[in-house]
Amino acid sequence: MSIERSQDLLFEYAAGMLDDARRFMIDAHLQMSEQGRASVRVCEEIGGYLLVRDCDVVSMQPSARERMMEMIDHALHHDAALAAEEAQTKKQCAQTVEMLKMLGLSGELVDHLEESCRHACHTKKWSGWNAKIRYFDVDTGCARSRMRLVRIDAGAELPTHSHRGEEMTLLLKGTMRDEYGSYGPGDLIIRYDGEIHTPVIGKDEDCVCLALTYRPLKMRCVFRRVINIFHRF
Amino acid sequence: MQPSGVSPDIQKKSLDQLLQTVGARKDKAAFMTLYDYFAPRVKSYLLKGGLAEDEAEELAQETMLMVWQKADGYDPQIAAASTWIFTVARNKRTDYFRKMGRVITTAPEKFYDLSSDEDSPFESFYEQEVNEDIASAMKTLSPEQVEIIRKAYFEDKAHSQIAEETGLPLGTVKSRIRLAMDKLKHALGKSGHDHDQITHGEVKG
Repeated sequence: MSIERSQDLLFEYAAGMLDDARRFMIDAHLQMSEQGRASVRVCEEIGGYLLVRDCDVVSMQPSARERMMEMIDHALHHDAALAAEEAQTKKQCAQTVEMLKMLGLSGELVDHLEESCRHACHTKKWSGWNAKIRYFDVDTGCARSRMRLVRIDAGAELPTHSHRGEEMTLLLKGTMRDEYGSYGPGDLIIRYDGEIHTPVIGKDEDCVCLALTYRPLKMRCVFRRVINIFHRF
Repeated sequence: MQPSGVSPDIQKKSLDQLLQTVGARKDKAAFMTLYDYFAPRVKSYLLKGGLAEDEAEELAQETMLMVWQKADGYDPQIAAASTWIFTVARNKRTDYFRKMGRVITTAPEKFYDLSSDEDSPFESFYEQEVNEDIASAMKTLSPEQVEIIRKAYFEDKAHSQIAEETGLPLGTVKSRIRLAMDKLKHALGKSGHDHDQITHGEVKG
């Protein structure tokens, strides 16, 4: 069951079947996971194979070749424009990146998140459910989903909760454990409908993770219902 | 099926080398050889994804332009040219769907002509440049498995849409894809230890 979940996702990623929010998560995961990259590479090789072997060859329009040659001539002079565009993107995402840097995350991941933010990523100030948990929303452009960058104090224990729908968590920094296992940076944790867990953060370090959910979580413990007000992911 | 308008000496070069040459030297002749070979295939890929003729044409051009612009980032050690160009086309398609606000498309029916597999109108001059391991691994699949894999790659469809079309329950579609992929990975010798580090519900970093 477990292997299948992640392998399904990596396959769907490679085949181009994922929505923006899930793709963002997988992109980030791949930056941190060599094994994940290897899995995706196999899937992409199959895509390349299909492109070469199984795509019937469709004629391009008669003028296409000539237009292409014009386009690459043109493009030679427009590398500068491309660079300017990239600089603009960097600027737009600077706030997110600053925060990530403040958290002490690695340069590569930061660069990657910056790239992933290209289409839609604006940030809000850090909000908190309580002193131990802080977060801000990352706009993924997908209305159905909610993505948050969450920072949780070392040693904190989150309320026991179940899920309606799917939750993906990518651990960026620190460690975490729940009823199902222990996780470290780069691990992608996928929880499905009805699964109940109680995440506990490792004592040595604050935990930072990206959490993507598709429906509100449901608190299990009545006494903790109040937390649910703050804990809407 | 040879690409047209290509001089024989260039034809001898592998696609990977051509792409590398484009990346290293902005070599236009090398690029146009790649263009002649890949643009019609990329267009075909996009048509299968449900794009109209004009859209597919334009996006194929844009894909190839991006190949030109980003070729310096290509590393033959990591991927075959076909794999790399597939990912460029796939990302272009995703961007396009996003721009159009389209999440799922309905693809035309005509692409599942499995009977053409054997006598292969797709055999190409560059055949030897396809990853042979992948090619032989694909041969271990049943026609049904090949079809479901094709649907997944070519059409912009969630598993649930494939389930609807094939009349199979969603879980069955997922497990069939999974089975096919396991079979492929096994044939590629990539099963087994791949799974060692994966525990319940997680991909280990």
